[in-house]
Amino acid sequence: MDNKKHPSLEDLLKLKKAEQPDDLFWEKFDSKLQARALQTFIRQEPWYYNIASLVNKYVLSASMACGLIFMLGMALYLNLGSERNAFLSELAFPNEALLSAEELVDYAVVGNDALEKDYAVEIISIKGASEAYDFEADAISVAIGDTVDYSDAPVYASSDSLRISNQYTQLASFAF
Amino acid sequence: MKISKTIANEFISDAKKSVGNAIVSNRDLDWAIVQRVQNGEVSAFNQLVQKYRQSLFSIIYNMTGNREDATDITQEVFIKAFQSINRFRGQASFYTWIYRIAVNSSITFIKKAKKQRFINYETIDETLVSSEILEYFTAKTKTEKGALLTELQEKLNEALQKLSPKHRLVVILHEVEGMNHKSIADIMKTSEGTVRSRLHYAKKMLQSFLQDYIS
Repeated sequence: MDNKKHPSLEDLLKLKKAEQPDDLFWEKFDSKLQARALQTFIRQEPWYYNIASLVNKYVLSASMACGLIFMLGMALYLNLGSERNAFLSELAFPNEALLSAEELVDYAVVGNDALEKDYAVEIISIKGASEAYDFEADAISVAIGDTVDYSDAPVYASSDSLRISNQYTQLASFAF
Repeated sequence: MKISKTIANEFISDAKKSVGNAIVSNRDLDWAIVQRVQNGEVSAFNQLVQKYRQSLFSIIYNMTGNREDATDITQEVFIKAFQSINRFRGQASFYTWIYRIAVNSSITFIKKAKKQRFINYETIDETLVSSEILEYFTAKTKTEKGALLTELQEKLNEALQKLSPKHRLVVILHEVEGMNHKSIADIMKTSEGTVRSRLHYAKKMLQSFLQDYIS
């Protein structure tokens, strides 16, 4: 570039003055400014209003939760109380009609030291026996109601043919 | 010769009076509009918007270097002015008051903007370009002229953005907006000496940044 033709700094800075937006820009500017100015007219709630509304919201939720917990607690308490009262009243005033003569005898038997050992032995033997059994639900025989033949053939829950052929069998398999 | 001097002096004094009256009347005109707004005639504020929007946008745009940011800030300035108009007592001119709001808003924005925003530029209105610049382009073809103008704009914007906000502001108000030192000092709430000092330093910096493009 030829130095003689170079502009001065001041002239160059005047270029900035020549940078002007077009009319369309000002139209948009005015409409946007008008919209923003209108927004300022909308009355803003005071700062404490938001806090008050938040507090109201949480207080309402908390009070509802407390109420629910209180109601559940009361229901549980009353239920337990009634059961306990019934139990206590039964202890205090046993219904003699329910107590058969055998039971009365049993009370007497329980008090017998010699028999207590027998109870213990019985319990152990029952537990041991229960573990020995192998229950197979699918293989349990069922009676088929509407047939003359009270077959004791096993019903397989996975057998589609059997389910379709006999509704009672189907019901029985569902029951298991 | 004496007569002609007297006539010339009279002419100058008349001219000064008329210029002074124009300034006073301009200030009074603004104050009258402000009072109308303060009395509830809200639509009168639009006259102030129409009057100052272009120069305020120009200052803010040259300060931020970004058109979108400048648009937002200029609108904010008018909204702030509108919201605070009841506190304006006419002790300073409306012109100084609203320019001060614009300057403070721009500086606050620049300080808040952590990262450098994309710098863009407006289309140049060639009717406003000085004769010296036009002379510089006379020998160029239309394509060359356009490319050179764009290059100059880019370099100038880059150089301005390298200055500190206060130095940039002084250059913009004095060299671009054509304000005198007193007005700038009023707007910036500083002394005229500080304005001169900042202007001198800023121009020196710009000359070093743009040494390949200026004489």
